[in-house]
Amino acid sequence: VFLEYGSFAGVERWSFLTNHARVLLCIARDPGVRLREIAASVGITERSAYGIVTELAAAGYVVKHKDGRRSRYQVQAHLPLPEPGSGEPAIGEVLAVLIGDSTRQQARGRSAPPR
Amino acid sequence: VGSGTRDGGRWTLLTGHGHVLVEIARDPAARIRDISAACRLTERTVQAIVADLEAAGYITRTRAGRRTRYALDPGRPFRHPAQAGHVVGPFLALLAGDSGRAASPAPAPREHEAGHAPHRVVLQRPAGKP
Repeated sequence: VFLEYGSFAGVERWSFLTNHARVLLCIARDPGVRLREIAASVGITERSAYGIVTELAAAGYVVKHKDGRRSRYQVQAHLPLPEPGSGEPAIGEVLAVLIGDSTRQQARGRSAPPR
Repeated sequence: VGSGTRDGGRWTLLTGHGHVLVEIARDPAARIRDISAACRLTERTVQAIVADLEAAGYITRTRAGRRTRYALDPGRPFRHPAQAGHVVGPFLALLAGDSGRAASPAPAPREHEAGHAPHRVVLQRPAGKP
């Protein structure tokens, strides 16, 4: 399916979002997500995923809680985007747009429409 | 594809392509020079990115006298599998601010105008790839 978008073997030459954004999206979707799942979804190694989560946490975008052997994450949705230049929306709004409006959200079945 | 760092090691959420597309959504008449300044990319890089965006059907360029105007296609999907099913319109509307005045209602006039049916690309694949 992804080949349709002009990709080569699933890898785009360019895209709009960085891997930091994709990792943050994984966490926003599922605060109990494992590094292994993040790595698979984003298409990076677990080591890279770990590095990115660490950077997100260091910048305050993600707060990490230990929950037994698992980590749970909390996205600080009110923070502004890290992008240079001001007047941009809070990170939570951006994540919501990227999570919420999918026209064919797989694996969710018919859940209640996102508000 | 983006390590996520630009501006000397500070990571970002948008790639250069993302930033350029947002700038165009903000101001469809923006000059390369303006985009370059806003995105902190060289003009040369912006030129290349604009060409990529056009080739992939995210924007259409129209000459208006000496200026270029851009029309966005808000219905085009994001490119990474992790964003499958999401189109760029709402994202651009949000980031371009102005309650999306710039991004969402873009494409209406251009279908009929100027005789160039915007090549509603049947999702092209790179030449030579099976």
